[in-house]
Amino acid sequence: MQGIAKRFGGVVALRGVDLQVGHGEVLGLVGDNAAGKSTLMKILSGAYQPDRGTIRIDGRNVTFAGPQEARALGLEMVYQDFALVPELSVTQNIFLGREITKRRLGVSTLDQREMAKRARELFERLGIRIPPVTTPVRALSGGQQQAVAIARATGFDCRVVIMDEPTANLGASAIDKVRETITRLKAAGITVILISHRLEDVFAVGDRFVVMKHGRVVAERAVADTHADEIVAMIVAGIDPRSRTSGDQSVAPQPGP
Amino acid sequence: MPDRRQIALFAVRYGLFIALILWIIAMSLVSDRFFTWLNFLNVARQAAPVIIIAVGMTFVIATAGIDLSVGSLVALVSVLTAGLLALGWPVALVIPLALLVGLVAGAVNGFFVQLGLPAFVVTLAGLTYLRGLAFVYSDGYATPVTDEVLIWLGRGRIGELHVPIILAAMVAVAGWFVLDKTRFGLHVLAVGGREDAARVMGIKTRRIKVIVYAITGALAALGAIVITARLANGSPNAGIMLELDVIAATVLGGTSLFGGAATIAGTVAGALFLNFVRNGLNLMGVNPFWVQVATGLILLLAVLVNVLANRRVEEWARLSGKDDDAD
Amino acid sequence: MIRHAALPLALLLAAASATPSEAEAKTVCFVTFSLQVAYFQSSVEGGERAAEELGVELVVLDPQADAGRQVTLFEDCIARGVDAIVVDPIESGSLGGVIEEAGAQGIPIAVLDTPIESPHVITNVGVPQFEASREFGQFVAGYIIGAMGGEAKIGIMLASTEVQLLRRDGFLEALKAVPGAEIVATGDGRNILERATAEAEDMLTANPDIDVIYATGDPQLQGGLAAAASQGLDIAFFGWDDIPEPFIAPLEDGRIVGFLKQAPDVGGEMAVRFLVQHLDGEDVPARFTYNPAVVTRFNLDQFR
Repeated sequence: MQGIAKRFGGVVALRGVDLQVGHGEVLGLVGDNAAGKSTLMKILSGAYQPDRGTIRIDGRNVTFAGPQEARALGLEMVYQDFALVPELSVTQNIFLGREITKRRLGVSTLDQREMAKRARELFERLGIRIPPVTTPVRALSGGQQQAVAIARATGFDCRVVIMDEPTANLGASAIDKVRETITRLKAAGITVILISHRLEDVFAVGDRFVVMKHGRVVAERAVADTHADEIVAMIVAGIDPRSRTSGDQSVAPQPGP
Repeated sequence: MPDRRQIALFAVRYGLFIALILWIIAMSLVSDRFFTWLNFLNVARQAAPVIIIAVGMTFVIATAGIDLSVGSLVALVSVLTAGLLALGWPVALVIPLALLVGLVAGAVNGFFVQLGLPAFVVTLAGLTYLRGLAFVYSDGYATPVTDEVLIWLGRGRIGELHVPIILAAMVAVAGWFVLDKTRFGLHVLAVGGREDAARVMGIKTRRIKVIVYAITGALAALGAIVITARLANGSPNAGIMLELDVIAATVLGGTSLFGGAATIAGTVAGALFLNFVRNGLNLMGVNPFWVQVATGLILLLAVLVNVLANRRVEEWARLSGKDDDAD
Repeated sequence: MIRHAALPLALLLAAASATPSEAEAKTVCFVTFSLQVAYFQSSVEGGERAAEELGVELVVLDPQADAGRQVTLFEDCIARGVDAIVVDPIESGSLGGVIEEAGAQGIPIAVLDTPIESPHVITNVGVPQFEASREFGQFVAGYIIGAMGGEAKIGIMLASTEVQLLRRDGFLEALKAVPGAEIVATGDGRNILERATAEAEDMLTANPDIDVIYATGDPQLQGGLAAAASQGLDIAFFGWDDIPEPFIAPLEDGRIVGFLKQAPDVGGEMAVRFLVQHLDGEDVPARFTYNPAVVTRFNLDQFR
């Protein structure tokens, strides 16, 4: 993403943000509440259009008119409130909008069995155990619903998955499961962008930090190269102590493997 | 041996059917006129127009919407049908035209709802202006119908069953199929269950809303044709308060007013149950006005049981889910 | 558990029900028009009177002016297996199917007010609406010529039921004889008093020069009277149906000039009587009519 800017009416949410992510990288996007992290990711996932700036995937310029197009290019989002339909089953939620159908007597009907089978396989691959895939989502616990949301995002030729506060409202064991899932995704070559206010999660599974404040990128650090205090200080102050000048300096990271 | 939770789930889901069977048994014991083929056919025939329209209403309520205008649309289509036939138009033209009018009227409702206006208000307006149009067209007169084909639709038989019953059955089966087995049906439930989730998953929520109201309009027109045929009369007073019967049947059947959960079988059972209650009480000689009281109370009770039971079930499920989670 | 619940439930219902044993007492179903209207209340009273006298059980059902409900109630009567049915049609065309069914079950039918010809209808009881209203129209025409110099602006208050439309048509027919009589407005009271009052008020506001009002039914007449009183207008009223309390004072002081009184209780009574006679194997007349009387303040005392 290069030079991304966005305003909502009188509020400038993003001013000229540059962000680069490599293949199979786990990026932690951190900052305070008004930093613009969610807005930036909503642009990346196709929900918003940027006022200025370009997005490039593998060197090619892309634009999306909506989440569908972003999804078609392999960009998926796991929402903070999951965006699942409570009354529908796990399978139905996973396949929502891209159901598998079979033709019977010239009419296209839902292939429930095939979808259920694939849903189960998906969870196996992610290493998650959940109640039967026919259970309605509202009968699942928070952690299980989170698993369903992740499965939905990552189950269909996904290349980049954006997770918006995935560990908020979860208990300890559920948080562990999420971290494990992220690691597995990375191992499968999927890029993960993690928006989180829990720095320990990024330190646990992430490769790199990007700190934002007031709609700008403040700093970038490799996870191994920094520690929590420094990150916190940068979030609060909005300044990168290691750079000579203040403002929006971005350091291009090494290209991924 | 099924555990307590599964029995509870069963009771909640099938409670209405159980109640229907119990009522039929009880009425049969009380009145020897009740359990007769003639009487059952009567009840099925009386319920038929409600069932036809309620299938559409099920879809609308599944999107967390509502359609209060169906009764008035029945009146409009009724007078149009009778009026055009009286002018000499061929019935093969009048019937498709009537269905088209219903479809368009429904689509108008849907258009305003998908703009974001509350369905209650939009269809309340429809309830008012559609009946107004019916009165304008007919000048307040009821027009008799003499066309034999049309009358056959209301009073004719195929074998032992009356045509309205067969039509209602066909509509119900088609409705069940679409709701349960097609992508469209699933998307309808998604729109009602959680519209923003449906939208981010690429479902065209606005288009779906227009379609379900259009379907309901067309089915209301079909119901109007059946009613007009049964009475051999097109009247601007037709279908007064019919929307309440239709909505009651749908809600009694288990379709949630909040959207996301719907059942066609439940709607059919709901319509039959309400009609069997009325019929049974009438045969017993109970003052018909008490029937209205009874119907209202049944509806209240059913919704209460449904909501309370659903909450319990959800709690149980979530607690046991936590247990699974904690290991 | 289900089985245990059904039996006491059934017993409870059996105790609460009012179904007579299938013994010798005949049961007659009386499906009226709408008990909100005094005319039909009176008709039902006549029927009940006859039933009591003849030892017959009368089941009164009220469809509240809804034609569909009337058909449903009629069907329920057939399913109940009653011995005979009296019906006061709301829309005569709608009953064709169910009359056939009753005939197939061997249930004889008497029809009140709006005649229906059918082999299963053994008698039609009532006042021929068109002819009677034409005669009444002639009475009104006479008044216009005599007391108003042959010129009048007339407002009609009606309801769009078959019967009341016939009353209008007969009246119009008679008025053709008076070229100076002009119908300036028509209001639809829908047989509901509040509605009729509102419509009449609008009619009088739009046409303050109306000096005659012809009402085809009592809610319409009452509504018209109320509207005229509230606007302080002096209008000659001509109306139909029975003479309930509210109309006696206006008749006395001449606000209502003439009133066509039917005897609906006679109609109801004769319908029940004829059915019982028929069930007993006697012949009954296929048509029974009686002449309604024109009541004015001069002969009011006869009818109190």
